[in-house]
Amino acid sequence: MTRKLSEYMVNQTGVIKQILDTDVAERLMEFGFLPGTIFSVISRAPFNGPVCIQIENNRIALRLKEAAFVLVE
Amino acid sequence: MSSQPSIRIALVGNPNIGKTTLFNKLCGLNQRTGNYPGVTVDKKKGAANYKGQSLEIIDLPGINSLYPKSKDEELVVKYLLDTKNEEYPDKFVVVVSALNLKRNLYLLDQVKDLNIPIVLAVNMIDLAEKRGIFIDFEALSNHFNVPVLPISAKKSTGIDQLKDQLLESVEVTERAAHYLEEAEKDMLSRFRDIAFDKNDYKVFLRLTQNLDENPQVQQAKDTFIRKEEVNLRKLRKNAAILRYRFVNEGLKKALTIDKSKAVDLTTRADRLLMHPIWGQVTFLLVLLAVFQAIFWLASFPMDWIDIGFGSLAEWSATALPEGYLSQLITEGLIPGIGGVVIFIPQIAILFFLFSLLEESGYMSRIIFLNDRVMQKFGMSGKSIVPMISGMACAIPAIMAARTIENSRERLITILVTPLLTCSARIPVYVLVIALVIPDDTYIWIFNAQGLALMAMYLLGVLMTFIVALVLKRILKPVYKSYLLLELPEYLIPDMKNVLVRVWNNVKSFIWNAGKIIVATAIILFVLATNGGEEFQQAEVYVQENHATLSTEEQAVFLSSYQIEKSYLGQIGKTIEPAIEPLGYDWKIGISLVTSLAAREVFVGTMSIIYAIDSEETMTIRDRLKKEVNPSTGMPVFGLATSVSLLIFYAFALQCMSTVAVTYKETKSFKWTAIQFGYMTALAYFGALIAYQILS
Ligand SMILES: Nc1nc2c(ncn2[C@@H]2O[C@H](COP(=O)(O)OP(=O)(O)OP(=O)(O)O)[C@@H](O)[C@H]2O)c(=O)[nH]1
Ligand SMILES: [Mg+2]
Repeated sequence: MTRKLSEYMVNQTGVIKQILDTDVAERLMEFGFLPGTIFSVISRAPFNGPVCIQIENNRIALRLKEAAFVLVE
Repeated sequence: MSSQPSIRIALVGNPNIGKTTLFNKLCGLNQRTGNYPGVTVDKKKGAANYKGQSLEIIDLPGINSLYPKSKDEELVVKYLLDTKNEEYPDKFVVVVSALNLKRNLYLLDQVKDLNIPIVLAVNMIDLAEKRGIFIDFEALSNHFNVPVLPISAKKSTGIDQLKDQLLESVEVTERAAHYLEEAEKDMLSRFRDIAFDKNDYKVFLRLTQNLDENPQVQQAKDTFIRKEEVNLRKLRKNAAILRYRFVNEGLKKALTIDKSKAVDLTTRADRLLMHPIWGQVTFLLVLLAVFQAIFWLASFPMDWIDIGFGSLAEWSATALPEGYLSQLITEGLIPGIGGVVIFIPQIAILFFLFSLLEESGYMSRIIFLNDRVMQKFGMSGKSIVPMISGMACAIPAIMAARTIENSRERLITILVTPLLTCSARIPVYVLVIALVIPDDTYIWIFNAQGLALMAMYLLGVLMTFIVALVLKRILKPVYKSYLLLELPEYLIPDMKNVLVRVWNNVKSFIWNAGKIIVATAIILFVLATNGGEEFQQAEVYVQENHATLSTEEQAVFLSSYQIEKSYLGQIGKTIEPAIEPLGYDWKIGISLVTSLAAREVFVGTMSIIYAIDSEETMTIRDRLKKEVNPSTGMPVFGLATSVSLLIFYAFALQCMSTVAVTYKETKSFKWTAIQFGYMTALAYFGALIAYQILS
C-alpha cells in the first residue's frame, strides 16, 4: 500500500518508493530522497509545520507540501 | 619574493562542510564560519605563500548541485561555468565532509564532469573516527580518478599535505557520461549543434536549465525541445539517479561504518529542542536569556566606562592649557568618543551569544520551528537567520537573505529586516530611557529600564511583522516556495572562533562609529563656536540687555545665547519647524541630521552640543535631564519628547550602509526607495502621533 511521506508520524520509518514529478523533485533527490532509501521521522513542527526526516546520517526538514510528493511503500 | 604568477585556487563544496574554516587556515584570515548552511553568501579572496609560491585562494558559498536555486548558489555555478574568464581558477579544491560523504560526493561527481582540475579534500576526519566512519582514501581516489586528501580544517591536520598537492599539476581525465542513457546520448549530441561546447556536461547543463543564452540560441533550443519532445525534468531526475548509483558503487569500496560507535547525541538533544511544545518553550527561554544578559550583565562595565570618561574629561580640562584646542578635546572629542565606547560591553555580549547560537547548530532548529509562522507573513523559515542577525546589524543580515530561494520571500525579508533593533540603536535607547525612568526602579523583580528596552525590541519585532503582512498582501507570489533544509549535527562552539568574531565586530563598531564621530565632533565644534555678527556681539548684548542678572547667571545665559547664534544654532533653527511638532528642539534636530549617516552618532552629537553649552563637566545624562525649554520652563526631555524620540529611532532608516546594501542586493532603485520611504514615514508620523497624544 502506498502512503505519502507527509502522513508519517514521529518515530515511524519507511522506505521511499517514488518521487512525484514536480519542480522540487530533483532537489529532493539531491538531498538524498531516492527510491529504496530508508527514512525515519524525527519531529513534526506544530500547526502543520515542516517535518524533520532522518536519512542515513542526515536530518532534513521539509514542508508537508513537499513531503506529499514523496511516496512510500 | 617570488616572480612566478600566483596559482589561483577556488574552494567548492556543499554548504556547512568547512570550506571557510579551511580558507581561514590556508590564508590565516578570520572570515565568518558557523554551524548552519549558508554562512558564506559571497565570494571571498585570500592570499597565501607556500614554499616560495604565492597562492590566491577563493572561498565560495556552499552549493547543493550545479542546478542553483538561490542567489548564493547562482553566483557559484556561474563562476564554475565561466571557463573563459581571465580570472578562472587554475585548480579547484572540492571539499566534502567525511560525515556526509554520499551527498557531498554527488556534487563532486557533477563538478568532475566539467573536466576541470580537481583536488578532493575530505574534511572533518577528526569527527569521522569518533563516529565510527572509516574511509579508504585510495579506493575513493581510484573510483573518481582525482587526488584525495584527508584533512581536518578545524584541527589543522593534513593542511600541509593539501598545500603540497596544490603545488603539483593535476591531470584532467575525461570519462564517459555515466549520467545519461544511450538514447539520451544521441539526443544530446544533436543538441550540441545548437549550443556548442567542448564539454559534454556543459552542453547537458545548457539543455536542462536556463542559463543566460542569447536569444537566437534560446529560440533554437526551444524549437529543439519541442521537436524532439525532450522531457527535461525526466532527464534531470534520471541523471540524479545514475549519479547516485555511481557514487554508491564507490562508497561500497571505500566506506565502512561501525554503527556501534555512533553516539547520537544530536538525536537525543533534538527530541527536546525540536519537540512541538518544549522546542518552542526552549526557544523563547533562549531569547529571554539573551536579552537579560545584554541588559543586566553589561550594566556593570558600562558604569565603569561612564565614570572613567567623566574623570578623563575633568582631568583634561585642568591638565591642558586653556584654549580653543583644549576645549575641542574636553568638550568635543572626549564626550563624543565616550558616547561610543560605553556600548562596547553590550555589543560584545550580543555578538558572543549570537556566535554561540550560530556555532552550536541551533540556528537551523529555529528555522524548522518557525517556518510555519514565517509563511503566514510572506516569508520563509530561512528568514529567521537574517532577522536574528538583524538584531546585531542589518548589513550582513540583508546579505544573508541570499539563501532564501523564493524571490518574493527574499524581498520581503530584505525590506523589513532594518526595522529590527540593531546594535546601533542601543545607545540611543539606553540614553533616552534613562531620562524618563529613574535608575533602580523595579517592577516586581525586573529592572524597569531593562523592561523598557525590551519593549523597544518588541516594538521593532511587531512592526517588522506588520509591514511584512502588508507586503505579503501587495506582492503577488511569483514562484511556489519550498523549504528543504539540512539540520547539522550539534557541535561544541569553538571558543577561539567565537572570541575572534566578537573582537572583529567590536573593532568594526568602534572604528565605523569612531571615525564618523571624530569627524562630526570637529565639524560640530567649529560650527558651534563660530558665528556671525550676533554671535560675536553676544557678550555686549547680554551685558546691555540683561544687566539685572548676577554675573553667574549672565555667564549661563551667555553660553546658551551664544550657541543659539552660532552657525550650528542657525542651521538648527532653520530645520526646527519641521521637527517641532515631534517635540524636538533644534539641538535634537542637529543630532537627527548628523545621525542620518549612522544612528550611533546621535549620542555623540548630543554629548558635544551640550558639553559646549555648559560650564561644568558632567555626564551626558545629567546634562540632558537638566535641560529646560526656555519658553515653557519645562524639561526638554519630558515623557512626550522622549517617547517620540524612541519611536523615531525605532523606525527611521538612519543608516546609509543599509540603504547601499539594499540597493546592491535588490538591484532595484524602486525597492531601495520604497524601503527608505516607508521607514521614514513610519518614523515621522509615529513620533508625531506619540508626541501629540502625550503632550
Ligand atoms: N570537528 C570539525 N568541525 C569542523 C571542521 N571544519 C569545519 N568545522 C565546523 O563546521 C562548521 C561549518 O564550517 P564553515 O567553515 O562555516 O562551513 P562552510 O562550508 O564555509 O559553510 P557555508 O559557508 O555555509 O557553505 C563550523 O561550525 C566549523 O567550526 C573540522 O575539520 N572538524
Ligand atoms: Mg563558508
